[in-house]
Amino acid sequence: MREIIKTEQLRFSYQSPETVLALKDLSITIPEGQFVAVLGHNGSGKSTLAKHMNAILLPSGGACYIAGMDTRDKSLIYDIRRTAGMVFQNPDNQIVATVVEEDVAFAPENMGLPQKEIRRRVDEALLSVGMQDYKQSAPYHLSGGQKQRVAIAGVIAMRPRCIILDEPTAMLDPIGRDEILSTIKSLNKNHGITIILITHNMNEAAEADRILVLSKGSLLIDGTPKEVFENVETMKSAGLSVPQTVELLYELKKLGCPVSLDGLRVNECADILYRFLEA
Amino acid sequence: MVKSIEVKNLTHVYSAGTPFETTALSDISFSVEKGEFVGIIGHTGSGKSTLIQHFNGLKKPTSGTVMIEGEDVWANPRDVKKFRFRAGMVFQYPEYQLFEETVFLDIAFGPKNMGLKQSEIEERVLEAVEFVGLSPDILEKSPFDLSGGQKRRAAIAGVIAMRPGILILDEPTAGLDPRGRDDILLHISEYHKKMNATVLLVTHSMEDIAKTVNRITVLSRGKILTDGTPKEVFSEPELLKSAGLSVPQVTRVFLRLRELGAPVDTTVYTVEQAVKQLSALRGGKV
Repeated sequence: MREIIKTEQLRFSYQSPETVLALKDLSITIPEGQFVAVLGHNGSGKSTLAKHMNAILLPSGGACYIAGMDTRDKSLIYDIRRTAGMVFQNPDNQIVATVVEEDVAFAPENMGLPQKEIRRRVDEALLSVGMQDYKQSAPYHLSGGQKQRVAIAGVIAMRPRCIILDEPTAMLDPIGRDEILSTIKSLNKNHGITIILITHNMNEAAEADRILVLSKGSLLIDGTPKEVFENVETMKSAGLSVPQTVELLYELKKLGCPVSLDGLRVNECADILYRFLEA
Repeated sequence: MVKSIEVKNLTHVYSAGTPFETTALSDISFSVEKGEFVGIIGHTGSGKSTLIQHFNGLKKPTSGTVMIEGEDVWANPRDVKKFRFRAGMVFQYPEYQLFEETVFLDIAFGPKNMGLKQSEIEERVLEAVEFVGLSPDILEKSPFDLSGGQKRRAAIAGVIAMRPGILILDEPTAGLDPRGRDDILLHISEYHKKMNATVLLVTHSMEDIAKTVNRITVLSRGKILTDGTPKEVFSEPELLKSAGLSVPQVTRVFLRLRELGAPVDTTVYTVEQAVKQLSALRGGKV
């Protein structure tokens, strides 16, 4: 598969000279169409990495390529941002217009698209996040989850190949979280958009195809959710946790029970425990 | 004994008499005993924030009464301010409210407003810093030089320094990594125990709440949907679901085990309890 994001020995420091490195020679490749979750403690470099993916930050050393475009090349910046769109934590900071559809139209208007095309993209974007019935609403009348979906639609309207979401559910309640997660999954499965989801929520990360765990600016683990969460001790030592399903299996295993740790989902975990109780 | 909080028939209406009129709280009666650790959960717009803002006089009831430590908050509107010290409130993302030149001055802001002596203020600042697990070395730093987690703790220390008999925290762990989350909850539990304080924790995290509180109050559409021990509340997964909430993941595993036909007791809400029960089911032979 084609790669959409590639970092080569990516290094970044917020200070100059480089006393503390936020990213330490990080090399990762993300194929197009993948749903990748990025985990890491506060200060692990997650957001710094995300900001390299649409050229908000530029490498202090090494390089970052988006669909083959080098982010250090200033002439490519608009193409890069159109390819990889970004959604932030606080929905209130991302909405600029007083009517939902106008907000979604902001980027396509700036791209200088014809009216008809803008209309088509706005409708399509709102439909893809399930907010088509609210196109005439005022954003401040919406719930947090709805506002965040409008922010995502604003990015979708640029028709990006990749969306980077930096803790998009941190400020939302469980309903809002579910709304965002199913929106992300549908954009990934039905529209083939690459998703980079930065999160502290282990259960959200468990839904991804692949998890990257960062610790102190380096890549600690890279694998499928099952592979990653089996490393219970490594995860804990990196200041992270694992879903309660895996934690329960891990605790039982520590006591000598013959259970495997790959029961990530509730049903899988229950199946393993059922077999264990029957044995 | 006098109750910490006693709310009688509390109704709060926003924008009354306009087309935007909304009833945020509708005829709520609720009380909290001294020393209880209560979790308040509910979806966005359920009335949680409106409710807690009545406990320190930030909101005035449209009707009904709110008694704090036996005193009606609005008996004398001029005296409302004193309830800000008795019911200390930590808002969401409190680190955005740090403003002083040094961490010390920031934490001292509350006690200073209480009109305490300098020596007493210093004592309280040191005590508060210890409660939240920060090193006294940071007191002379600018709050803006701290890490995110340290800022959050410094902001909580600023409320603790007022030694409130009632400590109210709105999503104190939002945005923190798992270790930071556990750490803050541990320090809050310590304040609860050592000071025999009443603590109210507003959160969206069922796992956090299951680990820490003795009692859970669930709000939905401005009313109390259910109220009880974590065991009681989490034994009603359908009711919680109807309010847009859920039970902890480990409880869902047990509900599924029951569906499969295993003879489990589904009133389990922490991993520890789950391990205990499973090992008992195997006759302690695990």
